[in-house]
Amino acid sequence: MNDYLVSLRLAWCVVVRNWEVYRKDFLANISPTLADPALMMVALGMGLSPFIGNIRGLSYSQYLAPGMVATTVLFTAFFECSYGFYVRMTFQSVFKAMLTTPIGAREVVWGEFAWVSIRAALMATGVGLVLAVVGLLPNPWSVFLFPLIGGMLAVPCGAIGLLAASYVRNINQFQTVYSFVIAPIYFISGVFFPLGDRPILASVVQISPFFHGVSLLQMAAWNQFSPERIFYHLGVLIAFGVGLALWALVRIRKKLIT
Amino acid sequence: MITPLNSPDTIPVDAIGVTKCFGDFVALEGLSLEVHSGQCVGLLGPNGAGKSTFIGCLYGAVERTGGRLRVFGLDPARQARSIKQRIGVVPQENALDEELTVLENMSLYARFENVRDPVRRIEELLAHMSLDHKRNAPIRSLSGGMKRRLTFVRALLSDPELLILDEPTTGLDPTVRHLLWEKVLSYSQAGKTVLLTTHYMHEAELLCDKVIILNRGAVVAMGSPKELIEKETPGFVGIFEANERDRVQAHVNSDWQCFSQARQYCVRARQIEHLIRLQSTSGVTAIQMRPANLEDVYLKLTGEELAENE
Repeated sequence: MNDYLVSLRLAWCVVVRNWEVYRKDFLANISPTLADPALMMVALGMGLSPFIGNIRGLSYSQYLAPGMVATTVLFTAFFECSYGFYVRMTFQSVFKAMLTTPIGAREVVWGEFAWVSIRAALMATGVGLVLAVVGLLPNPWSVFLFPLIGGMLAVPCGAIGLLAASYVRNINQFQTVYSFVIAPIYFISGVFFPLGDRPILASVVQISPFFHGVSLLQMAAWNQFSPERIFYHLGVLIAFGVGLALWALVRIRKKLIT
Repeated sequence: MITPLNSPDTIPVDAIGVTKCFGDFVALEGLSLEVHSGQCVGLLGPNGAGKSTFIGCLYGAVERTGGRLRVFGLDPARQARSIKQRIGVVPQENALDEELTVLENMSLYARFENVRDPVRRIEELLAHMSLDHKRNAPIRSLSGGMKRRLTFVRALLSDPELLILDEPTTGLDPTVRHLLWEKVLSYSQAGKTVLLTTHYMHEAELLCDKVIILNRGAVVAMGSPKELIEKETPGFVGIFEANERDRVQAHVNSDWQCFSQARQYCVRARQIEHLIRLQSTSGVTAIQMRPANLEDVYLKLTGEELAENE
């Protein structure tokens, strides 16, 4: 069998392993991912909507909705690939055992990306369905695009997590990564407020893959498609995904193969 | 053309001048050794001697810095996957998924190894390791000995040609240790090749056809346990109470070797008659008299540096 096909089969084995462990504690694992955006919608959406008025013809809850899908993807991918991966690597020695089998570092990383992409796609769909049911998606059909965009957005977000796992010297240092990397891109990527009239901020967020994912989700949810913007955001998101994933592969390989 | 059993292409392990450096630290320094088909070879040495580093090099988990290394004629740096399809490894850590059951764990690894008829193979091995009654138990409910036996099951799933055991019995009670020794012996007697690292000299003496003693990343002695004992520490050892040291020492011949071990004072002489005579001349009765063993060899060769190599 072709070397890459074997690698794909083995990467899928990593996905199966993660699923087997994840499903053992399914409710505890899934709850925060769904509860966080729900609470955010209640607190910010319902709470602030009456005071804020319309943004681009949308209520504030409708404005927030696609951002909540993106948030679910960001947190699912980042936490799974940072804390989750680090625990598997350092405390559970899962990869030491895996590496004694035909699985190599490449398959481990591919498997982790596949796993977070699938999880993020499913989570994005779940959150999207709830938002569609409560009428917060002006374009309810966008739910069908959410798994695709969510799955793609999970790759750069997961890669940031893997890079963090490869650089930190102990588990507490993830807090620093969260505070200085994840929190800024989360708060200033257009999830909570439009960036159009803030040119400096709008320029800065171009280097955040999360911003491009948010933009694609917003276009889909608000039915405001424009081919140029789709190509731009999609192109940059894919470029970030590929670049960060390759960087993460190199770093994780160094951690696993000494 | 028929390939000889131990031609360079089929020798399970063939290392020539293997080195591994971690920054300035030299973990392996020109290590050369061979493991032939059907042999059970023990790698001995203090903590930090390079045993686990060498084992990692064999299947690509550690990248060697220099030298030539072949496993079944394949280079682990480029052909790790092909090598790993032919070996089974019991690593130092069990690394089992605690949330999963025994069957779930083994099924996952059978999938990794692409084992045909995995259920039959797993059941067979669980029975072999007396774990079949635990097939549906979560890993977290197993004792340390059971977990260790399960890592043997995991390593044997693909029926490997070479079984690598990295300190397989460390921390286990004697009963489990004896059970695992029997399994390793039966595996070895079935013509399979075994490479093990251990801190238990008795274990190495019992299981290994050949032992290789490492210190500071280099081979300091190699041979069968009997050959090494004969060469390095021939004879018998009389063990006395440490507080009788002066009385015993006064009657010791200059060509005998004396050394202290914890609360014991030991004298090694070529003949057991010498020790019997020592008892009568010194008036001190030995606690024990025994033939020299591999531990004496080990302590002689690495004893000065019993503090871990760091």
